[in-house]
Amino acid sequence: DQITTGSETIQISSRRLEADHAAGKVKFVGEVVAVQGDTTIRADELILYQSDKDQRIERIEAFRQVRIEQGERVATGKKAVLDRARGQVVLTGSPKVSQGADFVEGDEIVFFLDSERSIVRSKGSERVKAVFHPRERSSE
Amino acid sequence: MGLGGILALTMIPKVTIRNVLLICILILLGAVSFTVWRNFKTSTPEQLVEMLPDNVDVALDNIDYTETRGDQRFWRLQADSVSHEAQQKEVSLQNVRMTVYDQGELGDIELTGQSGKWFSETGNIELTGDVVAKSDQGLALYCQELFYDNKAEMITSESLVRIVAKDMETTGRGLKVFLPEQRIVILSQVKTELSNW
Repeated sequence: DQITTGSETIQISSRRLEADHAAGKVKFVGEVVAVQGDTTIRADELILYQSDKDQRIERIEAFRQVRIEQGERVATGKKAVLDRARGQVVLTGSPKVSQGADFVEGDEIVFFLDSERSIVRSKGSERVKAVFHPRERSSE
Repeated sequence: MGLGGILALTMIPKVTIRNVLLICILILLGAVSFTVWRNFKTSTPEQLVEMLPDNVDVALDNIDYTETRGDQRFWRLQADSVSHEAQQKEVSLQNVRMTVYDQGELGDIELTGQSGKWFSETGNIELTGDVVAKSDQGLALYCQELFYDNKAEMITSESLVRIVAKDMETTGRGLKVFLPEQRIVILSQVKTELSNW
């Protein structure tokens, strides 16, 4: 029963694990690192939710000190929800996405895993804040 | 003394030491047989073991014992060989197979191990050596030692553990399984591979 590794495989390490079979939940606690391909998620706590139908993992939630690294892109926040079907991560709790020195902040950031796209939203009167540094023009 | 009297005298065996001994042995055997018959005729294995005097040890082969509460099967214990040390109220087993019934969604759980101990007073069980626990649902646990606490309905281990479930394989050190709540805790060094995400 050797598990086949493939790009879908996620490697997760943590200090402790709690699995609640009846609730279909597996919680990783303490220095959690989850790696899938070129995407790494770090957090204090990470919870896998199994679907009732086929026991497959349908949603992952990460809490506290969440940091998602993908290539040069880094997204941080207090909570992240990974939705498998949509291939996206929704970050909340002072979320911020940066690439090199450039960054964008808002109330909610949708981070697309299969494209270099992010959507930053603000709530109420707050405004989205973005800082982009002009590229140096190559001398003619 | 008439002919009848003489005949009667010769019929009475000479009361010799040899005959007295013979009679004593017969009485003794009769008493032991009666005691064994009275005690052993309706006893269950557990009562049999309880009834044995404290200084008697028992060794059995191919045992098969089921613990029931009312008419509900709780768990079943099978082993190639078993020896019972009366003083310690412990039963040592070789090549153990234990089935814990009806654990909710997990279904029945089957535990196997090279050797084990059953503590007859508490009903606790200790398994060591290539211990494997498998549930009807395809959940499997591999480790080197496992302890089943009958009263707390909890399984614990301090060794390295490996759990294989649908789409997920996890290793770590130290384990607690809370059977009634169907909760599993791996205490440290957790590494998990999640496929099919």
